[in-house]
Amino acid sequence: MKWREKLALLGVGLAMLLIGTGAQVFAQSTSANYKVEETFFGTGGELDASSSNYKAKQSVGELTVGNAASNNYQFQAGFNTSDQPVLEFAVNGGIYDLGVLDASAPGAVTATFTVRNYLSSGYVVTVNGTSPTLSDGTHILTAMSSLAGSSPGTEQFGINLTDNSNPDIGSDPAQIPDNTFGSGAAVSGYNSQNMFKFVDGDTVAFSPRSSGQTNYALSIIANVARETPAGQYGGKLNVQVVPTF
Amino acid sequence: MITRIRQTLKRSSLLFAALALFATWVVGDAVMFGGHASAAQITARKLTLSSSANGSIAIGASGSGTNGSKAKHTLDFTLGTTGNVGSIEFEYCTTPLPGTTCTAPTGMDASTVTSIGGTSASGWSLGTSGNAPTASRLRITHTAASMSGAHQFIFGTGSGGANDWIKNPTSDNSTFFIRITTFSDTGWTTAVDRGTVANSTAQQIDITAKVQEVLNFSVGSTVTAPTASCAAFSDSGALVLGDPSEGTLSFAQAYDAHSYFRVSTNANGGTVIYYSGDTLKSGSNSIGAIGASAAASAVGTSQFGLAIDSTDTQSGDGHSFTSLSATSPYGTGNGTITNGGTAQFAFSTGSLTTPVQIASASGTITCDTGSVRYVGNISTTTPPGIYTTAISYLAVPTY
Repeated sequence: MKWREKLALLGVGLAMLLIGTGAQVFAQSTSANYKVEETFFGTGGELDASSSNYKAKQSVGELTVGNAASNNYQFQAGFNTSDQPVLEFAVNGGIYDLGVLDASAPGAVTATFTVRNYLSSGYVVTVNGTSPTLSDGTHILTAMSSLAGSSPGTEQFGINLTDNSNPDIGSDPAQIPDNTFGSGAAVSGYNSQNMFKFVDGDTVAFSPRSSGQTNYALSIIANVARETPAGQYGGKLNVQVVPTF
Repeated sequence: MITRIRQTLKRSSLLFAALALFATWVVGDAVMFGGHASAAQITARKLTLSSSANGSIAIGASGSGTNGSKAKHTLDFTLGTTGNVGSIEFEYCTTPLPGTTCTAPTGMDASTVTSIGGTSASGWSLGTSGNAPTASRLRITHTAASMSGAHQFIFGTGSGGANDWIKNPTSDNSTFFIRITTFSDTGWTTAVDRGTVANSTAQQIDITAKVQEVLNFSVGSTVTAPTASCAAFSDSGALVLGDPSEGTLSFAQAYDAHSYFRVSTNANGGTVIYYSGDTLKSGSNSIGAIGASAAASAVGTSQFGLAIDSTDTQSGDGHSFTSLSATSPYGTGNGTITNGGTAQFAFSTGSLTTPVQIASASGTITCDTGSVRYVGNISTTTPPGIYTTAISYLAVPTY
């Protein structure tokens, strides 16, 4: 064999070496039993077509799109999947006034928050905080440690994440644009209509996998008893999301 | 023969080339795959914040759900590789991908961290000098040892002093990432595994509410059930003290009667119940008030007094103090009213101008009913006539 032939073969070998390693990027789809690296399934495409002047991803003949998962696997499919984990979490915070409370009717407000994440094994949403407290600190509205309905005349403070009729507040978690993409849901204890609960640090919502945007409505109610001390009450709720990647 | 030798040599050359090609591929891939295998991804990784409040919010205790200024960050993860780990780096960035430029989240500060917590903390220490905690980077090290599986490290435990916390990024609803890298050496040089976790600050939900001051107070002489609403007495409050058929007092026997007051209030500072009134009078004649000291019934002596009768429960509708307690000397109205009986009474005519305390509560009152027992005695010289008085009761709540 001539040296040129040997050189050519060596070049082919190096090319094979590079091809063999080129697919090793970041794992995008994983489970305890299954893992797919960043790649594409389809009739054609390129994950990173770049030069000094441009950067692009390409795909031809898209076969499917979105997230698919079961208990044992999860994958992202589509024209442009990304290897970059994403978490978008927005709480429409601020002051929510329950008004003047009396023993005849509940005070109720609804706050909202949204979660979207990508390349995760899901997320949980927790709510920390305390029941509204009298301004001098001498009294805290009784938190509903177990699931119960609104009971005017009984001191209560509770929340849930569902559509209620008594009182008429809240809405069910909404998947944006639809439940093909979003998978967030309220957990048991906070997903029953007209039933409320509040335990500091409780998980109130979750998604078992990567999820498109889910819009949540956090319904908050308070009732007072005759003997509930008069005055100005205030409290803070801290909504947190913990994604697992 | 020469041709056969050439063919043999040619085949050998091709065989050599093929072998060289295969060897190149195997060795090369072994080297590069080896590198990939050692740069495996950290899995089951998450960051839990003690508070999602932004770092400018310092409400509540350090490490509590409302304090973003002094927060605790808990990192859980599972190593992708079983092998030596001597150091780990946690880098706070606004973007996730390792190897790209790390921009620190605005306002965040981890430089105050002085301790390591969590289930894996034993044996680990924070980097020092150039590897000491910075605003956006934490480096920890220990004696290099083989590690695998799940681990947990907590920063901002507060156990290292009052400032041993992490200040969250100072913008609301701001996502940030921690890039985690393990190293086989103790000097943060030879990377082994990598993984990124994300979390976010969030706006706080501030709840406000008002509860108005409430006082429900009523007085009557016909007892009625309080029910769930703590129903008020609604009768006239008229009371006859004396013989039941004629309403007359006697120098040979003491007579009594009861009136009631019911109170419900959300006054957190307590409530005091007073009485105010004069003794029984008929024109210029009067029956003697017992006075400010408790005294038993004295049959045959002109005497008028009152006291709380705790035994007059009226099957649950009468006297019932849960929050209130009688004030001395007006708490001994239960017992007999025979001459020198066990019940004791008092009455101060000064209450007409300066109400006298008869009961009090230190906090709110859900629904308490008080039974006031009156005693009347006359002497043989008490002038005949119709004796009357009006006793007023006052409730003074403190909010």
